[in-house]
Amino acid sequence: MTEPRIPDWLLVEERREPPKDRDVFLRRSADALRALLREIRSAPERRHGKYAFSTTVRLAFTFVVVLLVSAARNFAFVELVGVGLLALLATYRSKKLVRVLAAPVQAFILAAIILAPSLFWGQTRAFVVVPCKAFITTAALAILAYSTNWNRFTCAFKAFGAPDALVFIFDLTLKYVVVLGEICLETLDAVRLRSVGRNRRKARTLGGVVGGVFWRAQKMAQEQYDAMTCRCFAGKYRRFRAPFRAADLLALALCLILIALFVYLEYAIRCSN
Amino acid sequence: MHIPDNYLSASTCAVLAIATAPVWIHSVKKVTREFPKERFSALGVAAAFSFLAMMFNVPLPGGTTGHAVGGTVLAVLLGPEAACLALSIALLIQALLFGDGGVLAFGANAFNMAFVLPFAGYYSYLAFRRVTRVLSGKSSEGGSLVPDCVAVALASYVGINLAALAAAVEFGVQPLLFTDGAGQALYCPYPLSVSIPAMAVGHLTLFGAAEVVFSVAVYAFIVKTAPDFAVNRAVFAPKSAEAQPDAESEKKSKFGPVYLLIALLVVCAPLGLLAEGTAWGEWGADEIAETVADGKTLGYTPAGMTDGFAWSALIPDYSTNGLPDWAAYVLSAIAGVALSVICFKLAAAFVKSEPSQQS
Repeated sequence: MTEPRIPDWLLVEERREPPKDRDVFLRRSADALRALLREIRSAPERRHGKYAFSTTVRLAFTFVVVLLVSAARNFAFVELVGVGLLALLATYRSKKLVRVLAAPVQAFILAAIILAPSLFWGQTRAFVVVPCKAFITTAALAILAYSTNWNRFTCAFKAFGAPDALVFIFDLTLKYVVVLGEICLETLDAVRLRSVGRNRRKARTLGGVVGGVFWRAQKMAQEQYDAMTCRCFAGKYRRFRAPFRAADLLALALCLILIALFVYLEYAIRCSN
Repeated sequence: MHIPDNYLSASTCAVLAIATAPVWIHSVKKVTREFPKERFSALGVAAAFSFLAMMFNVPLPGGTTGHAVGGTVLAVLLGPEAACLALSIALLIQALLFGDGGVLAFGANAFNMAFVLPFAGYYSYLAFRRVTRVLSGKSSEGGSLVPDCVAVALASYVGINLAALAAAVEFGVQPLLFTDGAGQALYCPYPLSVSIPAMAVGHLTLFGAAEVVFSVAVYAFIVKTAPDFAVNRAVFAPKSAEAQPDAESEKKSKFGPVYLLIALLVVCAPLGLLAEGTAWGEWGADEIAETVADGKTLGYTPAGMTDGFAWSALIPDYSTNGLPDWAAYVLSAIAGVALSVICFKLAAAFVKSEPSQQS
């Protein structure tokens, strides 16, 4: 009886070194999506404290701040609001601060780059004022977005008398960003896992991923419509009347003070001219 | 003590910035290694304290003004490295946002107020504390507030005067090193024989006293009401092993009284406006020609100042068009405090190293 012999090919040490492959595009896209989904999922966990302003008042207050800062010609008003926002930001924890400040800092830098040529024409004031305004308005919106439970925006929109169609679109958008984001993430992971060897055309998969997600979105929208029709949803949202709290009164007073300051400072600058 | 731009030559500013750089590097390394991330907000609060202390101007007969800095007390409470960083951030905010102290001269100001002051004050405090405790018969374990306050008072006096001496020397060497063809100074026109006495008069008397009062008041207040804030283990005896704070209790440290004190200082900040006049060595380019030393008016504006670097700050001299001075001053105080805290909170988010237990 002959002894079993190990085939030669099994004795040869296999040295497979796959060519270095770059998957920056896929990895970054997936990371960005994960961060977005994490943010949306954490939104419902945001607890509004006992003394916090209601979402409707927050929305109105932010709108007034953005409007007044954008319209202000007296830089003292911009400074005043900016200092108020800085004081509020100083109370935030480190991680939240980084998240809230990311967009305003980008807006500031972008505005400064766009306005950099104005320096050559001696318009130093515009170079200072516009980036500051961009920072403050973006910071106001970021503070609203990161400290408010997003589901309550639907409520707040309706309280302002927004058309049902708009409320419906906003409501569905929030939900579908999560659902479609997950589908997108799974597709990206699948593409990354199945991509064996050196593949220089990973960026070209974008069309396929987006197309696939779009097709599924269409299908899900139809299913959603059918399901809602079956449940007798006629596209009407009822107005939810949140109780008016003492904190809301404070916000209202603050809003009136801001408007009065705006008018006073604008009048002062007009008189000085 | 804030040296404005164009009072020192660019080369002097560069030399002093390079001299301060190793101190910053050492401080950053030590603080990131030994400071718990949760306590970074304490650094922001410390910077805010210093920022506010520098807003309370004290008048000196003769028309000049000065202020406390609080560098020694911060060094005692948090350690000299942490105080160095806190003071540097406070000085940077003052220079960039309020035009108080030069942007080019930031390295020089940091050398004087963020290096000389806290380090000299801190090591003086350690020496004085030994003496005051021996004299008062108190042991090294707790219950020795009065002798420690005396040590803080003496050390803060030494610290501010050494910092003022450093600034005076920097001013005084300028006319020796930089003059034009006509023999006129290009930058600060006053030699050492004028700058050292001029700075010493204020700092040995009223400004030194202001630093002592501020330092002792803050030290006593914090030790009594918010001992959690004092994290310098070399000064404040570490708690026993059982009483060592865990991560959770670190987060819940009680800084409430400290925040209340800051709020009070912000509200009282306009008191600093009562002092009229300009600090010695901080005149504007339009004022310097009229200054008098040894009974003689200077009579010219140094060329380095007329053609020098000019930084347009966002809220120059803590004032803004359209708002009364007191309101602008309070607004500046809030901005300074908020920015100080934000800077260190952002730093805490980016610090990766795990802090080791302080020894």
